[in-house]
This record gives sequence, structure tokens and C-alpha cells, in this order.
Amino acid sequence: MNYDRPALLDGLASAYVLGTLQGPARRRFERLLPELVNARLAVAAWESRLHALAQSVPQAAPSPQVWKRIESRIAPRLRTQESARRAWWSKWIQPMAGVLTGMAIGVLAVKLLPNVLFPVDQLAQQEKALSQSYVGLLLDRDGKPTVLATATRHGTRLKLKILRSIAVPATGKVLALWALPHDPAGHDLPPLYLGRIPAEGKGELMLSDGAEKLLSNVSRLGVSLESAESSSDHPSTFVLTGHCVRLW
Amino acid sequence: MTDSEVLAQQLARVALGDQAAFRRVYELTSRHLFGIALRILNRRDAAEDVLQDTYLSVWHHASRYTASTSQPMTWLISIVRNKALDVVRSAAVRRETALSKNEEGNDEEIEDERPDPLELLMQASESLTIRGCMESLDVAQRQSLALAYYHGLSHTEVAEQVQAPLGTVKSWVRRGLERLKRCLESKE
Repeated sequence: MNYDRPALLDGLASAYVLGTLQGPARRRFERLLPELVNARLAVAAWESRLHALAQSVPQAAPSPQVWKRIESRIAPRLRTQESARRAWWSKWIQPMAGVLTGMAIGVLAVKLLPNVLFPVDQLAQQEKALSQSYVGLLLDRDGKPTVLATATRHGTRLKLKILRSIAVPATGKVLALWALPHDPAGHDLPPLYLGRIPAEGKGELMLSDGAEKLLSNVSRLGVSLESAESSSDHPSTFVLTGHCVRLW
Repeated sequence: MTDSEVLAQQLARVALGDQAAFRRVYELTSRHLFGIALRILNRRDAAEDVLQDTYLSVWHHASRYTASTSQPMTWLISIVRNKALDVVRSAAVRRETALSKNEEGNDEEIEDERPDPLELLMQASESLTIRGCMESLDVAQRQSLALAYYHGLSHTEVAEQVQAPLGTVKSWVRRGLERLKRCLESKE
């Protein structure tokens, strides 16, 4: 479609704002908006024309639960900021202590009770799974563990296990995994796109470099929701974040 | 300061992460935005989910407002309408809105208790600069626009509701919009 024709663009913008532009055409137009300034201007003009119509809609009170739910979704972030001020290491060490304890128990259980826990043929697989040296655990906004990412120290594969299925609100959106590196002084460097991940089950990403090279200065990972065709230069808002550490 | 200026100022504070300003924006606007979502979705639970999603977007993207030239209420209405339209287009919700199981387990139409959209359109135009412009539209054009705008209906659904061919409805909507635009521009 030729988006340069002003009349066509205006027609699309009006149908988009009214809501009669639908399905793939709506998604396509939405994806183009960030790039096409004329389309954005046409949409803004139609919004100011048509949304005046909304003023006669009778107001209605939502249940008080709605604000409570909104507040609880933004409050964990505020608490995190406070604890970050208190002590940088306490924020870091608490979740990691949990992960390390869990892994230590896992290792002990496997060593002490192998045949009880796993049939012998599965044991080899389990031990292989435990010998990962980079481990990332990503939490959702409510602090629930959601994605486990592991890689062997010199491997080129990042294995992903989705612990809780991730809600992808709209079609045409995909989940993107990012490494958040920092320089030796601890300052953040630009996020590094690692690839798309599934919303549930398991996945595997090929790393362009070995894990050691790519992840040695990465202390955090993040998952963002991106448009299927958007570029992978920088993430939109993160839906999951978590620590990434080298274990052994 | 006008209501709009107060709202713009509060949104600027939200962009800086001010939670009290965010609460204030919610208090000032949630009843209006909820009314809009409810009209499109015709279900409280779905409309409340959309409302929650809308304010989380506002919290995370308030800086986008400060970069835009729109009126703050226009910006907020665009967010809630786009989200409500996305939800209403997902087949599951649309089906549940229109139909429910009766006691025998058969599908049954739910009574639509929303006020007549055409009436809302005329009420809105009485108090606005678009007074006069709405009158330049014929009744069929007005009715189609009102059903699409207030209830978020697709062309096909408007055609079913007014019992007119799809092509005719599409041209009513298109011409209605064109005429509205021409009329508003002549007044500027």
C-alpha cells in the first residue's frame, strides 16, 4: 500500500481512530506510526476531532479493586528502588541466596540419593543440566520466578525454561530476551538483544559469541514485549527482569 | 488553570515517577475512561481489565504524553479506546458479550442496556464546536458513525445492526467522516 498519498493516509487515520480499521490492516498501520510523521499527525488530528464525541458518554465508577491492583503493580518497583538505596548488595544477595541454596540442595540430593530421585538413565541428563555456569532467573512484576536461562561457560547455546507461562497481550507481539551489560566501573551499557523466547515450555537461543565472552559483564537479563517486526536495537518496557550470575 | 492544564501538569509529574500525581490523574479521569471502556465492551470485568491496563500504560509511558501536542484527555481517551477495541475484537470476548448460555445450555442474546449511541452523538454535538457539522450529515451516516464510535462496532456489525448492505455502510462511514472533517475545517 502506498502510504505517501495524503488522501489515503487520512482515510486510514480516520478509520484507525474510529476503530473500523481492523485486523492485520490495523496492526500494520500501528507498526508504521512510529516511522511516518504524516500518519502520526493525521491520527492526532482525527483524535482531537472524534474524541470530543466521548464527552457525552455517561461516566461510571470502576470498583475500588481496580486502583488497588494498579497500585500493587507499580508498588514493587518503588520498594525495589528503596532497597537499592539501602544497600546494593542486599538487593543482589537475597534472590541469589535463594537460587544458590536451591541449587546446593539439588546437587546434594542428586549426589546422595541418585537412584531414589532419578532412574539411572535420567541421571546423566540431570547432571548435565546442573553443570551450567551462567544462570539467569527472571522474575515477573510481582516477583514470581518466570524464566530460567542457563548456559555452559564456553557454550554457544542459552537454554531457557519458562517456569510460568508469560502473558502476551496482543497478537503481533513477541517476547525478546536482552542482556544488560555494564562496564568495569559498574555503569550500564546498552542492552544487547539475545533473541526471541517462547511464552511457555522450553527454548534455546544460539549465542553469537561464547557465553563467557558475551555474558561475563552481564549481571542482569530482561524480557520485553516487542512488535513482531520491530527492530532489535533497543527494548521497550521490560515485563521480566532478573539477575544473571556465573556459578562455577 | 483549566482542568486540562491541571491534568497536563499532573501527567508531567507522573513521567517523573510521582505516585501521588498518578493517583490524582486516576481520580480525575478514571470514571470518564471507565464509562468509555464499558460502552465498548458492555461488560464490567472486561472494562475494568482494560482500565487497569490503560493506567499501567499511563504510568510507564507518561513521558510520551509530554512529547505530544494533544490535549491530555484526548491522549488518555485514545489509549483506553485502542485497548478496548483490541479486546472487543478478540473473538472470545465478542462472543461472550453477545451471547450467554441460558439454563438449557443454549445460546441466548443478552439484553443490550447501553443508551442509544445516536442520542450520545447528538448530546455530544450540542455542547461542542461540531454542532452544526453533525447536522450536515444525514441520519444514516450519523447512526453508522455513532455505532462505530461508541460501541466499537466493525463495518460488518454496523451493517447487521442497521440492516443495510456492507458496502453501503462503509460508504456512509467514509462520507460521514469526510463531511465532518470538511465542516470542522471550514470553521477553523
